[in-house]
Amino acid sequence: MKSMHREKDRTSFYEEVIRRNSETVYRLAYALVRTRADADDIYQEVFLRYVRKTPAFDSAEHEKAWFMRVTINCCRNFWRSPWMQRRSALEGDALEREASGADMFYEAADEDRLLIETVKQLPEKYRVVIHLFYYEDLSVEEIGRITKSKASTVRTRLTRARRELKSLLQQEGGDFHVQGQI
Amino acid sequence: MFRDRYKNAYDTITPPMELVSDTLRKVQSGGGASVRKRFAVRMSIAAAAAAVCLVMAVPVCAAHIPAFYQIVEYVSPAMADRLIPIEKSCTSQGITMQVEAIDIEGNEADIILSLRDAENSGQDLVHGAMDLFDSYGLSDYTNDSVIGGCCFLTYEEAEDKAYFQVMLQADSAYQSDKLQFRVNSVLCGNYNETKDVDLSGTVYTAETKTVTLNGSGGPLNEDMLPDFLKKIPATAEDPRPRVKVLDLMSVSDCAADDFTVMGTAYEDGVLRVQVCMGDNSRSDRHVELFLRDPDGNERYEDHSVSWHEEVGGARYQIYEFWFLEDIADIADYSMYGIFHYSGELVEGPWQVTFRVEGD
Repeated sequence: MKSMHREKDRTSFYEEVIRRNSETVYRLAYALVRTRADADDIYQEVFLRYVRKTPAFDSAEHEKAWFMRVTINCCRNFWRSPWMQRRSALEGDALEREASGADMFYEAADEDRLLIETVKQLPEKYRVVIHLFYYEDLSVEEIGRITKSKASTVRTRLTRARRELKSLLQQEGGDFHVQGQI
Repeated sequence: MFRDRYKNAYDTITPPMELVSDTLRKVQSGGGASVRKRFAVRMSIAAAAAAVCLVMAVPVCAAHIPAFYQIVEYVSPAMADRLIPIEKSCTSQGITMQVEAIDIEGNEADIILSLRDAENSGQDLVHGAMDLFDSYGLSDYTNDSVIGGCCFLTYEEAEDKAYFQVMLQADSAYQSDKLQFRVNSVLCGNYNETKDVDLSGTVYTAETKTVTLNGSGGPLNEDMLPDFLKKIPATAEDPRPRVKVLDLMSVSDCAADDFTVMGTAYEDGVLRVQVCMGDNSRSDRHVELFLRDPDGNERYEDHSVSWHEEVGGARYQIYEFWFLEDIADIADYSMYGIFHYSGELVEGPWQVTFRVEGD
């Protein structure tokens, strides 16, 4: 009976942590992979890793940073897998089509959709810094800690990402101004 | 302001309720299997399921669920739903090729096919990874495929079959009342070796030469590459794509039947690695390179290009891999490659004619 209670407490604790980080993980995964199905897989993998490892966190910031870090790692492993490489080569166009319209499960306005899909055209290392900087409001130093990169590298990537994004958005006919104080 | 627009756009992205519930359910049941490992699990379950189907006369098997369906179901459930069974075969050179199923729409087709040693052939050519040697096509007698891609799915031991998925595209829509699929040759007995690529000899300035490409690709689109890596604009005299590549080593010094790393250079934020595959006219040697940064992160190249050079009547294939990376000290980086060797080339041809009657 005692162990059943302990089990129940532990499950409730996991649920709480999962619900607290659910949107952060899903949005970051969606920013880094191409389709909803891929984001779903990454989402589950991240939380299953959490349950298997059950790391202890010093603070809410520590907890959030851990989930962002693991999400990025899972996405990188996902893209690196030979299966995904072959699939990309085979289904590149189909995946692009899926990502650019048919897969739009969320109620996004056309302008938002254009923005999301344009950012997805950037290389993965640029999408990471764009998302963490503009959505999660992290500083260059914080992004460096999460991505295990030097602050100077993050700064360079952010600058290049902005430049490419600006060019892409202009091609798409968007009127955004990609700015931001680093 | 961009930040506000970006936030507004991503505020609409939330995990579906059923995904959250499913994840919580898995957590409650003790964590479950890794999603990353699911593919491997999918394949082994598929193989096991196929094996069970072959040896057990249970009611569900009486309905004749082809093994390939179970394999495809685990690889891509969406695709399995669209497949129309064909199950027509052809035997040549002691190998039987069977077109298992097709998904065809307009000018695009996905084909699942299998290869196995023919009965009583007395040979063992089909026993693991194989390659269709880019020698396949689908035609309806007026229209032929122009673009193709092939993926080895699995070798299913219980059936002694190697399964492939082939994606084809023609210029115009296929007429599905009479189609012909062909494979001209296959490579048997493929194997891989993982080896380090030495970056210690990386040069920081290098001569370049202009080559005519026969292939290019990678996660980074060409328009995102630095200008010096972009293709040279075509002219009326030479409409073929050309690009400047490293000129570090003569191709005539490369091995004809093995890989040769011809050199590495780091210039203007790009690490360039040139590898010669040797004479690939009867093989399909290819390599996947992984760059490992000082933190231990590994990644593929951003873009690669390939071309041929003639050496004493043979055509050697060369690849140059480009990694866009801010590298302070190359000594902090390392590289390794998975070198894919191919075995015996068997020339068919194998040809199957069929009708699609699933609509």
